[in-house]
Amino acid sequence: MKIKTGDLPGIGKRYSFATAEGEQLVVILHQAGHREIYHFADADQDDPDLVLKLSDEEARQLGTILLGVDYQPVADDRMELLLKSVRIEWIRVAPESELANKTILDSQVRGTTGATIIGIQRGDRMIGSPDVNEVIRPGDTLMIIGNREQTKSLESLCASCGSPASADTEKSAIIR
Amino acid sequence: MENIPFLLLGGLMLGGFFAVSFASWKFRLPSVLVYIILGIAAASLFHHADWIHITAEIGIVLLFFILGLEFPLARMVTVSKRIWPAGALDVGLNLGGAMGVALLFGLDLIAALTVGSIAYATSSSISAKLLDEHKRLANPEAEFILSLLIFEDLVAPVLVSFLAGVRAGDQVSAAFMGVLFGKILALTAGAVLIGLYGFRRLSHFVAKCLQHDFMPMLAVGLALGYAGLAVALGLSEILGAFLAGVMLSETGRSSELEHLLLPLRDLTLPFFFFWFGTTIQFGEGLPLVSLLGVLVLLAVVGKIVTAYAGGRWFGLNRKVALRAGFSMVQRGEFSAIIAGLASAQLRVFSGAYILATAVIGVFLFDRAPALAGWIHRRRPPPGADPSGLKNPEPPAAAP
Repeated sequence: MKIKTGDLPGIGKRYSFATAEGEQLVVILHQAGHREIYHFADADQDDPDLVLKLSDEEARQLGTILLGVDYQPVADDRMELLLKSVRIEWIRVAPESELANKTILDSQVRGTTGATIIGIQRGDRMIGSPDVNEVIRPGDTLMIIGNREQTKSLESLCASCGSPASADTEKSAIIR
Repeated sequence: MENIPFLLLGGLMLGGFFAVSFASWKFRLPSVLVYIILGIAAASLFHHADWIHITAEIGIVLLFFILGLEFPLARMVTVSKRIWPAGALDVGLNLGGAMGVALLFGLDLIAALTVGSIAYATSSSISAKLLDEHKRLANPEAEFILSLLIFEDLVAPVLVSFLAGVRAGDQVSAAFMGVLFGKILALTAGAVLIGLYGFRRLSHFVAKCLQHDFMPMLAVGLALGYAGLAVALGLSEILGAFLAGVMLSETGRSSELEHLLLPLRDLTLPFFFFWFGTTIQFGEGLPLVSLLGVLVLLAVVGKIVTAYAGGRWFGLNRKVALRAGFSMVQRGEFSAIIAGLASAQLRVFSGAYILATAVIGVFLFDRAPALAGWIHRRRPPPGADPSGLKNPEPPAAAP
């Protein structure tokens, strides 16, 4: 993929490239901070058929999502190796989960799954390396670490007991 | 008008500017034009308001200062390298052409040069706004159009300085011209030296102190000071302001400094266009109507040819270059600045010229893609696929 860059004096910078499907994407970074994404169905088209305007913050958020910072649907080999040994996941605790309303110690999280809870996000609050006596509440988002099997196992605990989402545990992982 | 307290008048004027500016944004009209028209309408009320002129002058200084901020020397060289053939054609055709026509109509050399300068530059503010509003910033011609505008912005301060110098002196002799050029060179060299050996070392200081209340003072002080120095030398404040911006851009903190000053510019600049409007009085009728007609025609044809040919040299394909051609007719703030230096008669003349070309320009800009497509289909380039899907130019070639 070849990205062409150009200066737009007084406005900002322009990046353009054609996707594998032959569509033309142009990204403009305005000096004022906002970004614009233009989409052309083919390179010869006069008018874009989509213009997306993003604030600085929105653009950065979108950027991290596209970069796959939190969630890698198709990881490359190197990433795959890393992911096999260490994964950090964010998981939401469903109300019907058997973890809900119990302390970490009571649930024997480490013993049954092998994964470790390294943080709990509760509303606006973030609890870093929580105590084993911390009570997990429904709606909490757990930050967990472990290898693939261990995190999968904990994920299924969090969303278990027949909730529709539990059929596909990958979906229940919160993508943030 | 004298009985109204200054504060009340200032408040009313800014309120009025807000109202017309908001309306022009809603109706997609160039706000520059709207301010000028407001000025023309209110001309009889503002005969001796010196403070408007002073505010206007500060606005112009800040406009060119901020323009200069975007041009560290290295960047100026890069842009100029790519655009100079188009830029030279622009000067020859639009400045030279209009000057020639004015001479043919019997104007003297200085008046003809003034007319040429008024006719020369496309409005940066109107063009940039139109590109953004019509969602054409992503198109390949945007880079070319903006670069050519920048080239004009580089020529403009020198041109204005030259005119200001000539106007102040009575005799135009070879020696006088030599001294004038010498002064322009000295002022420029001074700015380059201070920029390279002074401000380049201050990058850290500027970055560290940006949020302090004394930074705007440094920036505006430098802008007004160097602009004033230029005036003291008998040159234009515009050149001084632009060079002050170039100087400070060497700190590498242009965009942050720009953000500090933009509100100040936005407050003061409308006063310039308003003031310009108040100096236009159509009472004695429009002078030199036939010359005006010819020049407006030349303005349209000259810019279309310049932008088309220049665009081709820049590497645009035919259709895109055509689109660029129809997008640069509008004149605006630069013509108003030149006209501000001119005699009263020429001012009325240029007021009409700006209004006419701006309206035609906005209209053509709106139709540019359609017009370019139409011409492209009717007269396909020799040897090319008439469907217009294939372009002979390498930059646009399909993979």
